[in-house]
Amino acid sequence: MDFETIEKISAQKDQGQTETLKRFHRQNLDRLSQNWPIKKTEEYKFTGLKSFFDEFENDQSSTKPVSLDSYLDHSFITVVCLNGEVQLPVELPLGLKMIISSEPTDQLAPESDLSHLHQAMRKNLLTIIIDKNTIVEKPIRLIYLSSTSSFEAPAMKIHLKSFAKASLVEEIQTPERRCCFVQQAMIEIEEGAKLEHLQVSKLGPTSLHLSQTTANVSKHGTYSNFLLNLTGRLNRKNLEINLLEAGAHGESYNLYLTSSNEHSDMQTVIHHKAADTTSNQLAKGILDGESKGIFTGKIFIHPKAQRVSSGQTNKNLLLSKKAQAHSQPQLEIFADDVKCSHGSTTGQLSDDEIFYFESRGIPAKKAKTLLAFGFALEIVSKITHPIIRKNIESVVMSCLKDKFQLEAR
Amino acid sequence: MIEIKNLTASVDGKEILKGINLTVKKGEVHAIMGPNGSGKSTLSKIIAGHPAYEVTGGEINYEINGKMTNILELDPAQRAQEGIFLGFQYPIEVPGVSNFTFLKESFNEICAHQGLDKMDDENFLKHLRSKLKVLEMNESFLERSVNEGFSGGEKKKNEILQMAILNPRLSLLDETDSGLDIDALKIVANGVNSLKSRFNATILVTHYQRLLDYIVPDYVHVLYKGKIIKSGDKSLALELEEKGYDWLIAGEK
Ligand SMILES: Nc1ncnc2c1ncn2[C@@H]1O[C@H](COP(=O)(O)OP(=O)(O)OP(=O)(O)O)[C@@H](O)[C@H]1O
Ligand SMILES: [Mg+2]
Repeated sequence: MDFETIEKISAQKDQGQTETLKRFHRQNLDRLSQNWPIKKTEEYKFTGLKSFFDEFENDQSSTKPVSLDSYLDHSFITVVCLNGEVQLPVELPLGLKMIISSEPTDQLAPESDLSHLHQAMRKNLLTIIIDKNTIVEKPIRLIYLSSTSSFEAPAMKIHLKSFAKASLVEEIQTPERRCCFVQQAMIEIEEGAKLEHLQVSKLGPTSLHLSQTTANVSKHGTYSNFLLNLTGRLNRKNLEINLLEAGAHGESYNLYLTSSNEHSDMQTVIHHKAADTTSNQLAKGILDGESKGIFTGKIFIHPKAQRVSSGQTNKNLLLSKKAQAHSQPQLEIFADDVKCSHGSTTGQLSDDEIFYFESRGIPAKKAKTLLAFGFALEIVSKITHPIIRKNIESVVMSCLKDKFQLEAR
Repeated sequence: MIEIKNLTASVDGKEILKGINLTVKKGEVHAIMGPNGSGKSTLSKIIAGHPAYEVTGGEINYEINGKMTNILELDPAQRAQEGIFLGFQYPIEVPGVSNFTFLKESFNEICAHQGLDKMDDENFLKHLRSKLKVLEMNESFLERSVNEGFSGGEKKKNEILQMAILNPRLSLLDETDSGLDIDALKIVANGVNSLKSRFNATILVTHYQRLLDYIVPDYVHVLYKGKIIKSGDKSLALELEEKGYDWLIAGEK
């Protein structure tokens, strides 16, 4: 994909849009052109975006219809986004609003080459608002699908007013297709509100997914984010959690399952901007084949943020000799009364563990799958909504079966 | 049931078993005793198929479908499916896999091999509960990760629970008695005895007569430096308890 292709795609996204949005696209293209091809920076030390974009071909010639039937699960409030068009549910529970704006020039992420790329392609913005004191029992499920090989720039904003509570699952599914998703999400958590937010990537083997998620958490609010990179050629996720006022709590859980030539790169930044804020982070990777998994966890404790507590753990399980895991903790502490811990481990399945399973009649391949699932379960068990947890449990299990049973050691 | 002929084995080039001969028939209980490091656990693990040990010579013939078959070619899971069970001296902790899942998966594998239908969770739980009761184990052990945080004695009981669920034909119990308190020893011995029949056999590895008071062996063997240096009946164990190994070893040194 060269710059001309990007301009062409952006022009396609312009069709039928307002002058304001076209201008917005143009501005972002201009800014991007000054930096194209995207250079390798410290932030992208292990992930050369240029080479991934070079691999990507924008080929929309083959279209396969998508059946939405399998997504009609009434235990969720389902929103389907097919080829960039958002289809809202007919009915929503009281206190939950969804709005699609067609002139979406909002800034949802910090300025960067990636945000300019997204903003040059963005077609609409889905805003979800949850009223004060509203508890949305059913999980909201946002599914992004594509019927052709395409470039998509989904944008979403969710705003929980005071003491509201909800669970949101965003899923990108592009099996069999070559897609590039460059996504932005913005989360506002008001006083005492609580959001559990999962971002699940289930991409085809040639698809790319890059995302920027920014959450701002106010007094006594809680934001729990789950980034689950299940499949895909490239999954690059940027997450920023800003803990703005006392009592704000942030959680970040990452799971990456990579095999063959898959590449997963997660970068999380937690800013403790006020005193008495807390955060917790756990990232786990299971890596096979010649895949790579990178985790960069940054924790910034700002000068006035006393009595902060923050913990970070990264654990990797390597299933092959050629798989690579990189763990980069980065702590910057400018206050003195803080509790901050971090640790990382990389291990393999032990022969003794596998033999224990085999000695009970369980064949080695199945043993490895069960052990890998056991490793992943620590993340899955952090999901508090029972319906989501059950769903993700089976998704992770079947993903492990698909991926790792095939590859011999 | 099992016939071990001239078995030699090594690990990392170091010879550990130096020609073992042992025949165990259906319905029999054999005890293997011997000083630390003599190769008792190695022998049990090799019968179960542990990949770390290289069998350098000899045969292990085991009865499968009425025919004596050399099982050295079978992988450990196949051996287990044919009814060989190893109770580990040091049971492995498996974080993230619940005891229930572990038991259910192994039970189902063995059922599938025997051409039986899988049991659904509910019926399996019923089956499990009856075995838990025999071993006086709390149901909360099912939810916990396999052996994780279990006390030494609890781990050993958990091994016997697995044995009770899988109902093996040949059980190799490697120091199942170590770590058990006096009451637990009785409970476990009682569990093992209740599984005994004319159709199965047990090999007990132990250091103490205490276990043999409850599970009475038909034969006792002394393993020393990778060889069986003496075999006898249950009175041999009593003699060892009294005199130690020195009188036997003197001639070997
Ligand atoms: N994987 C291994 N690597 C290296 N040496 C080993 C290994 N397994 C066993 N050995 C050695 O083989 C010898 C026999 O060990 P084994 O565990 O079979 O003894 P044992 O008779 O069971 O002893 P104990 O009564 O202490 O349990 C020991 O010297 C031990 O160190
Ligand atoms: Mg031993």
